[in-house]
Amino acid sequence: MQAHNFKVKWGMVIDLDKCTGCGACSVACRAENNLPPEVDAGNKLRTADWMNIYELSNGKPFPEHEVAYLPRPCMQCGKPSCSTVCPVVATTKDEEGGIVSQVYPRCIGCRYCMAACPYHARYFNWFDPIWPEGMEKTLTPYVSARPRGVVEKCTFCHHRFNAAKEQARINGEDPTALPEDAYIPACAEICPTGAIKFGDLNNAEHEVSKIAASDNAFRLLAKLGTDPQVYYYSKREWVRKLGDNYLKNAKGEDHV
Amino acid sequence: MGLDRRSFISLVAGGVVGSLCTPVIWKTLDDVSIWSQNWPWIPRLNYGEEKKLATLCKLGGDAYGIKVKTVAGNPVTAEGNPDHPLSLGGICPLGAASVQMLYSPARIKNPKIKDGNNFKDISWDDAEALLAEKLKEAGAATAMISGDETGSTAEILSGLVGKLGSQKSFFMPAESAPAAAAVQMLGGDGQVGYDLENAGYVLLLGADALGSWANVARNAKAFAASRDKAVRYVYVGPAQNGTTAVADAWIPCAAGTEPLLALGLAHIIASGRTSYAPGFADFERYVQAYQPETVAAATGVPAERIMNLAKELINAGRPLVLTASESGHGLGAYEAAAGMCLNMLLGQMNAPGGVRILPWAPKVVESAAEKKDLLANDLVAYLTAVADGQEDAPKVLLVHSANPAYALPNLNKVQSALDKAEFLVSFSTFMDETAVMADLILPDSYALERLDDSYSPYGAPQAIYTVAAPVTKPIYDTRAAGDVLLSVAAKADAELGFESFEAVISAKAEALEAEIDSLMEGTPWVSEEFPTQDLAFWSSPLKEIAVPAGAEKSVSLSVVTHLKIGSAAIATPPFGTNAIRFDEMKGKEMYVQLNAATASSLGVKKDDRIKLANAAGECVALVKIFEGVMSGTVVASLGFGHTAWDDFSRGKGDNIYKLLQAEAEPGTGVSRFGSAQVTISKA
Amino acid sequence: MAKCKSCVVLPFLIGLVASIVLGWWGFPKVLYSQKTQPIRFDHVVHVDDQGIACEDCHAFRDDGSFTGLPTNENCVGCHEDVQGEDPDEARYVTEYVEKEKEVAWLVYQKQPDNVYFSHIAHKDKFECTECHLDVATMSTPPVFYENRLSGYSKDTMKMWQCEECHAKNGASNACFVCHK
Repeated sequence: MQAHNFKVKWGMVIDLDKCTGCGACSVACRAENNLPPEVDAGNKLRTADWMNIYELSNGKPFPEHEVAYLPRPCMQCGKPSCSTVCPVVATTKDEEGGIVSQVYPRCIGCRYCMAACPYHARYFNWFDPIWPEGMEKTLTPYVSARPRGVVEKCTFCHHRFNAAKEQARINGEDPTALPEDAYIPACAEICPTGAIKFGDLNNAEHEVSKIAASDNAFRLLAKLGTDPQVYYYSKREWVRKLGDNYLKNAKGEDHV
Repeated sequence: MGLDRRSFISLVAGGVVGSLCTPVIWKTLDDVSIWSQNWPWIPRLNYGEEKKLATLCKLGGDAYGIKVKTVAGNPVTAEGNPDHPLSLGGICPLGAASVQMLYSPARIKNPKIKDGNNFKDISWDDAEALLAEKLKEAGAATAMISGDETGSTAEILSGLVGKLGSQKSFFMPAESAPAAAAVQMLGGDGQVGYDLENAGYVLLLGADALGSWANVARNAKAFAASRDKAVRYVYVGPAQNGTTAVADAWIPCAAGTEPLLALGLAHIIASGRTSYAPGFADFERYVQAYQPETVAAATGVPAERIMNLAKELINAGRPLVLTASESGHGLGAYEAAAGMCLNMLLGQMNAPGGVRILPWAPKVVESAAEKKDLLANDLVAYLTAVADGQEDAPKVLLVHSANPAYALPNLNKVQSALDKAEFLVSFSTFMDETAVMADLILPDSYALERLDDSYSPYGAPQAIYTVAAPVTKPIYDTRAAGDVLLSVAAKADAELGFESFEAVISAKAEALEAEIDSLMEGTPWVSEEFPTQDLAFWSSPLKEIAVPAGAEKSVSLSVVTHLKIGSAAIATPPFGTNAIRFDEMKGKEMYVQLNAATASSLGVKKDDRIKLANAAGECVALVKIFEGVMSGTVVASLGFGHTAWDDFSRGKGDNIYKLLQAEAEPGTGVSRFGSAQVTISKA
Repeated sequence: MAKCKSCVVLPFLIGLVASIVLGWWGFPKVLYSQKTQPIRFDHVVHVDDQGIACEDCHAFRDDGSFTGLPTNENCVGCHEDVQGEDPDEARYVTEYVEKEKEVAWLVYQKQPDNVYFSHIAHKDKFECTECHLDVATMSTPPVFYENRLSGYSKDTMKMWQCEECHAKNGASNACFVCHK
């Protein structure tokens, strides 16, 4: 399958040397994207967490142990495994910025895309959303409320992209040439340490493309060839090595 | 001509062919599919004008400015406030979940009076009249507990209690009290803050600065900014956490012994220098006892590491030592002083990048106690004494912005003392464990529904006064506690001199010479003035800091706070449940962390159900093997084990407060409960 | 009985015509219920008599979003009290303004929540009447035909209408441009 080349490629760089695993990004994502509150969020196979946080370990015993936290949104892969298998084209990789869209009314809930995604970034609505009385008034107008039976995932808050374009239009500016901080997803905006950075990977002046080019940047499961648009950054080699599967004594750098 | 079968079939066939040429079938299918996507129970979105309003978040231990986005007047999301010095655009997970709490199922919707084991609704007029009557009867046998250290409502509450002739006003235990006591020991007078932004080397002795300590959002911003400069963050504590995940180094140190390490460092640093600060000679003599080897034995930090750490501090430009209890409360005054002395030795008291001593907030309610006196009152000691019969139970006990029935050590005694109080009044917004025990509930409006204010929370680097206008009208029949208290005070013949809470805020602004209109619009008042201090090394009789004693077969319990799980006043918010990972909770049981060596010595393994027990109580949890914990230590998170609130938090995990025993610190009487010892057995 | 060819053709034709007529004329009558707006808003009075421009009520906000149908806030500037003799206006003031209740207008171009439409992206490209009914010249708002099955208006545009125009004009047809 060929990768598309887009004029703008929205991407994220998450600095794992700044992530404390606090969970603010995950909470803000729920609030922004109208995920329902879940009373029993223990069974992770039945809950939805568009921005999920994993605890990483270097696997060594005390006192050599080290810990890190990894927030995982949808990778918005350059070569998505999910959109190619959707039987009804409810999800496609869009030419405007390379975001993998998810269209809820078209989804038939076959979950083929969930099986295909190697990052477990897609979630199925097993149940209708239950909002405690009155709490539905806190729904934002940006994302529709999904009924049971459809798959959903992180969308890089593309509604904020649309809002940024509207703002540019009323200011008389070019909506296709947005300044770097005009469009920023909820998680990146809210992260207290600023670990999550967002921007145009194709624009050499954007911070994300500079960091993504660094030797300390890596992507998850890069060897699968999904070409993710979410990069991670860490000065710690053990963290970078956790991004993919390596043979114990592999020689050479598998830097993608 | 009759219609025979052939004609009939032909008619029908014509009908079918005709229908295919009409939109009937296609449109019906299309409309039915749309109908199936519009079930009436799926909520519809509301559209309208968007606004971002500045407000205050006090759900955790901090009080900082955030912004709430409203659509057509309804609050929808919360985010940081780039213009507030304690947010700088950042927000913590509790703040991010704060809007949805407005509609939490645990909210109390109107005043309630105890009726047997349940509650009966009561009108505001009746409730206020009843409380006023009880207060008149009780007179000086009134007491108050508040969890809001920075707001004027607590001042009104303290004023009411003071007017009735009682000195029994208490804050819930937090970081400010031991820090203020420590500064007092050094001859200082004022609130404690830290100029983290300008520090060159930050030594966190137990202080989980990026997780739950003091001003979490602002700490995170300061930390992020430090990454571009050669600033070092070193965390000292028994276990790895979010702060160590990003800090430059983790120094494993036995739970609760971080202040001993401070004294060990002070010993090394003091030996190297001469200081003309008053009391230095006494201090140097005092720290002689804390030789590296002695400290190494007590803390588990190798002597060489202690010496290197001391060198790093000496060589650092602008070192800053932040001493705290791992969970955010329970530190003793001497323990806080040990860390403060280190700052003084390093010349970083009231200096850029160091400790800042801020002026106390001006008091506007005359009969209120001074804040420093309030901080000096030890709530745990008082409630324990009441439970033990050593002190008279209060006739009226007013509880505001606090949940003592859940979030205090010596929990059995605390609950017994609350029970003994003749008339327990709760102003809680939510049906928490204390409200469940209350005789009368006068529900405070939620933060977004009322006017609120805050003067410099603990850790703020300068005096900051923030006023937050309401974001929305109260959705239930609740009223702002400040206004209710003023009204009740008037009815109880204890008139406090203010018509409304707004009047109190105006008075406070005037006293600070701050512009009230600008404050109401969301611009905080900030001052760069720091009162001059006459500091001396601690001159009160120097006592030895107790080393936590381990009983046989017991392990150290390190207690931590995760804001996404909740705080001392707030249970897991509806939007917080998902942020709790699968390795933190399984089903309805919580995990505690031990390393493999500790687990095998106790004969337990991963996912085993264990009982942690000591003289104070017992808890049940599951074992998580985590190598980021010192041996002989178990790490447990506060915030679980709620028995009230709502389904989002009730019945999940166990309340670790049950395992905390408070001991009065010899010499100061401050309750110490930062860590504990527990025995572990299979449950 | 003798075979009668016309007895097959005629019923067929009758069935054909009947179903076509029913399908094109009868079906919409059954499918759509007719509703009227809660208040008979008279555009002519406001536009012609009062000289109010479209943008005074249907405006773009500072952030580029479109206000759509105005809220009470727009109207109370004049309608705090009853202005004229029209009973509908009186009803508006007593039942809505005084009770601080918003009017539940029936939206002719109502789109489901999962559709995102940016008015400003379409401004200056064509007239409002390209997609909307020309209510500016009407004293009585047109009848609202509500689809009994789907709940939407008869005038609600379907996806193919947007997609076709986008494709013809070179605008992006990426999913998220119109869906949320």
